[in-house]
Parts: sequence; structure tokens; C-alpha cells
Amino acid sequence: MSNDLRIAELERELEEKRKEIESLNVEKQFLVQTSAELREKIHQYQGVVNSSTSLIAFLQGPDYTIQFANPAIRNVWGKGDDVVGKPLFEVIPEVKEQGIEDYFRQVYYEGEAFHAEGLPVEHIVNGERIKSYFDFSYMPQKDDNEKIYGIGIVAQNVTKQVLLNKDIRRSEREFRELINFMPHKISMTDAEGNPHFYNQNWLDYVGMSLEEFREQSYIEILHPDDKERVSREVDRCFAAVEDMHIETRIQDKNGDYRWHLSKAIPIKDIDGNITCWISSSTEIQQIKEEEKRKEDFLKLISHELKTPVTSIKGYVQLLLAMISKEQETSAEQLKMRPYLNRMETQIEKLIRLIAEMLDLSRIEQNELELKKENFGLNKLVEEVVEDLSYSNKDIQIQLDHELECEVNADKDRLGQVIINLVTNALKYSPESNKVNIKIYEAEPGHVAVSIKDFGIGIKESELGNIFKRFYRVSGNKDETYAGFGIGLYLSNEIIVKHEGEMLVKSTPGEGSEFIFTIPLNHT
Amino acid sequence: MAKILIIDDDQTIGLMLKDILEFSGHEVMASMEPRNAKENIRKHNAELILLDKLISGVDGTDVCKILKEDEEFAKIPIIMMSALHNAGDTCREAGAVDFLSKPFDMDTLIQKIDIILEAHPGASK
Repeated sequence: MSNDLRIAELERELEEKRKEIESLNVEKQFLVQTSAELREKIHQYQGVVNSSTSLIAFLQGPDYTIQFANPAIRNVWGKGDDVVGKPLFEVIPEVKEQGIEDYFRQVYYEGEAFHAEGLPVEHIVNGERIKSYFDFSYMPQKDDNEKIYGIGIVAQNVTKQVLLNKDIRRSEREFRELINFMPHKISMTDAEGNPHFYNQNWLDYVGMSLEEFREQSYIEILHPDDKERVSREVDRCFAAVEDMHIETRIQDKNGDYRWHLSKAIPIKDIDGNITCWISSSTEIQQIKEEEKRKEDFLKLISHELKTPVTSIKGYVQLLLAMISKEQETSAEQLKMRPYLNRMETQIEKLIRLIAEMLDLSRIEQNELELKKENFGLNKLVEEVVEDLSYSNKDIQIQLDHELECEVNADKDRLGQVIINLVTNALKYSPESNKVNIKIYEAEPGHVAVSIKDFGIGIKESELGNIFKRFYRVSGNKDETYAGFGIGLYLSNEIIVKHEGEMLVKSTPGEGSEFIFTIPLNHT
Repeated sequence: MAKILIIDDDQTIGLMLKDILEFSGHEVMASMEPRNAKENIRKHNAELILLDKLISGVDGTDVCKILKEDEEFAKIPIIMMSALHNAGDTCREAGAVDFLSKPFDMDTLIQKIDIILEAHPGASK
């Protein structure tokens, strides 16, 4: 082989080596760059892992040696920061018996990932046993050959949520028991009115299961006479989003109807949208029966009282007529006239009281019907004043017709109201016999009648009560103010039935003013 | 002056009405038994009847209807009475010419009777 050939070969080799070195240099540069990037990435990930609130750790080998544990998990373990390189169950031996090791084995030997939610674990931190709850994921760590060499742990401390959930569940259970224990019938519907809850009392009453009762409409088990009325009211309250308040008869499991007071209120979220309706029905059967007995009794005694009163009245009037007719009336007979007149006045009072009692029972049973007709209000007031002045000569009634008008109303009932207000005005004016009556336009389309006295007046604390049944204003001389305490209640009911309003203004010691307003006749 | 028959199961009311009407010059018979109404009308030759609405379990309006359906008595005016102040409409529907609610004024009673008698001269004839 010539030298030239040898040189040429060496040069070629040299060239190849040079190329090799060149490519190695490129590779080295790439590696340097990549490793720098990797270091940066690792640094980034470590930052994330170390600052994470998730609990993260890596265990290696069959004794579960801690390879890595982020600060969050070290904090939960409560055994300090010097844990890397130690087997896990040496660091936290207290969890070994709590079934954790079994889960590890499953992951480490079977290669199955393990997940759990709200798992309770007890740790000993500074000698104190602390129970916490965790969501866990244990994942097998595999090398390139798919061989398991360790376990990755990612967990969340959910103690707060679990305890809160427990509190909510306990509170819910307590309220459910409370609602089932109540004597009322409680139910809940969704925003559209579909029932989803009935308490035990409801179910016992109708003798159905929750599922059966949910399928049935509440209206179906009402008394046939109540269905339409209740249905209308329910629809109205739903449409207007108003509280419902209604009395109705509900059928029980034996087919009997019992009176209930049913209420319903809409429940709204913070934005004001209805989320559900809560209803309660309270049995009032006994109250209803007692009310009926009381009203029937009132009716009976007032009828029974009317018969003897009719005959006494007849005889007193007969005696008065006989005295007047006698041509030669003796002095003794003349003396009898004022006595008989007084008797007649008292009988009239008695008759009025009986009528009030009857009216009261009619109002309670909703039987007070108005017989409306068109008439001049001014004339009615004049007639009443005339009648009252006739039987009581001392009174001074000043009548002021600011408005002349006609109304469509029950003449007798309205007369009754005016008589009641004027006699009240006189009754509560022991020192005065003056009453001012004024008829005027209250607001467009309404007439007002004011009856003003100069008597003892009414204390402010009593003003709210005077339209209540059986309420009597107390005075210094209680015996002066006889009566059942029905008059004002009745008057108010009559005015309300006329779609009117009754008002009172009063100053103790100066007098009272009662004003009622009713609509004017438009026809 | 007329012959009047009172039918009311309450004796005191019946007597009181009899006393008042006799004082006013009428000839009065008071009966407590609605079942003998026809007999008593004939016996007394009644020209006007005062009839209570509720007489010992009998509805006065039924008595009124029976009399009004009988040609012999149909022309005799009947005034019905009741302690129910709103019974007027049913009584008039039954054929009563007028209605008095108890308790009533003596003057009202006498006036009503006078007006009715004037409108029904010789009702029993």
C-alpha cells in the first residue's frame, strides 16, 4: 500500500471523525439546552406542588418509603418536615390500623388505582388525636417496563365540608321530626304547585302513602261545596303571589269531612323568585261546631225572648191607649202615663238588644243580607234624628247637610247604624246632650256622615278595640254605660258590607267623632 | 168593626192580641190550634185572620196556602206574623196580604187591619 493511499485513507477517517465531533457538539448543545429547560420545568412544577393545598406525596418500595411529600401533606401528618427517606408507617403509625395499608397493597401489588371520598382518618398531632376527612387518589407509579415501584398520593382535606354536611343533615332531620310531630298538616309544593312533601300528620289523616298522596290533587279531597271556592282562591293566590288563608272541609281516610284552616305562603330566593310554597292546615272542626252551637243558642234565646216582649209591649201600649181614650181620666190614671211611657222606652231598648243579638249571630254565620234600594240619605238621617228627638226631648242634634245625595243601600241597616252612633254619642256624653251630624262629600263618589259628640272621649289605647265584638269602652262610672258591646261591631260590619269604611277620631275629655263613608249611587 | 180570628200557639200573644183588638172594637176569637182553622173560621164567621208563622210544629205558610186554595176561604185576608223579621217574603208568597214582625207596635197593627178591612169589604160573605 502506497503512502499516498495511506494518507488518503487517514484523511478520510479524519474527515469522518471531524463530522462525528461536529454532530456530537450539536447533540451536546441540545442536551445542555434541554436540561436547562427541564430544570426550569421541574422548578416550576415543584413550586406548584409545594404551594398546592392538595396533599401530594410519592412513596417507593414495598415499605412505602417517602420519596416526596409536599408541605400540605406534611402539615396534615403533623410529624415535621424531616420525613423523606423514612417508611410512611414509621412516620404515621396511627393510620396503619385504619385500613390504609390494605388500600396501599391493592395499589402496589394489583396495580389498581384507589379513590375514596370523605374517608375519615385519625392523626396524632402533638399527642392529640384529630379526626379529619379526605378525598383520596392512590395511583401506582410504574417504570418504563410497566413495573410498579411506588405509589402516588393526591388527597384533599374535606373535613370542613363533611362536618358542614353533617350539620345540615342533622338539622334537616331535626326539622323533619319537628314537622312530623306537629299537630298541623304541613305540605310543600314546588314553584308550580306540584306537591313533593306531606308531613306524617297529613298522611295519617288521608290514610295514604307519600307517593299515593302526591299523585292526588288536594282539591279532590275537599268537600264538594268547597272545591270551586278553594280552587279559585288557590289560583288567585298563585297568580298574585299572595299568602293564602282559607277555611275548608277536608275528607279524612274514613270519608268524613272536617273543617280546616288552610294557609300557604310562597318562599322566595334572594332574587325574589319563588322556590316553593309551604302550606299548613289546622283542624278547626271542634271550634266550628262550638261556634255553630253558640250561634244557634243565640238565635234560640233571642226568639224565645221576643214572645214575652211582644206581649208586654202590646199591653203597655194598650194601657196607654186606654188612658187616652177614657173621657174622664182620673188623677191616678194621669199619673200612670209617664210610668207607662218609661216602661215603653225600656221595652224598646230591650227589643233593640235582642235584635242586636240576632244580627250578631247572622253576621257570624254570614247570613246578614243587604236589601239595597235607592233613597235619599239626607232624609233618612232626618227621620232618625226626628225619632230620637221624639223619645228624648232633651237632646240637641245639629244637622248639617253639606251634600244632598242619594245612595243605593239597605235603608233599615243604615238607619240602624245611624241610631247606634247617635245613641252611643249620647250614652258616652253624661255631661252634654249635644250631637253634631254632618253629611258631606268624602272623596269623589263617596258620601261621609260624621257624628260628633262632646262626651268623655276614648283613650288612644282603646281606639283599636272599639270595633271588636263585646268590647266596651271603660269610663269612670262603668255602670253608666250599659250594653252588650255589639253595636259598634255590628255598625262596622254593616258599613263594610256596603263597601264603605268607618273611622273614629277622639280626644279623651273632649269627645269623639265617628265617620262612615259609603259609595254614592251612580245609577 | 170586624170579626177576626187569631191563630197563635202562644197563649199570651193570642190573649194580648184579643185584648187589643177588642179594645179597638173588633169581635175576636183566639185559637191555638191551626188544624181546626177552617172549622173556627166558619164558627166565628171570620172576616180577617191573624196567623202565626210557626205554630206548634206546623208551618203557618202551609195553613195559609190551604186556606187560599179553598174557594170557601180564599177571599178572607190573612195577616201573618213571625219573630223572624225577614219572613215577610215567604208569607206573602203563601198568599198572606200582609206581614207583621214580632214585636210590633199596637198602632201599626190596628192601622194595617183597618186598611185591609177597607180593601176587603165583606170578605166572609
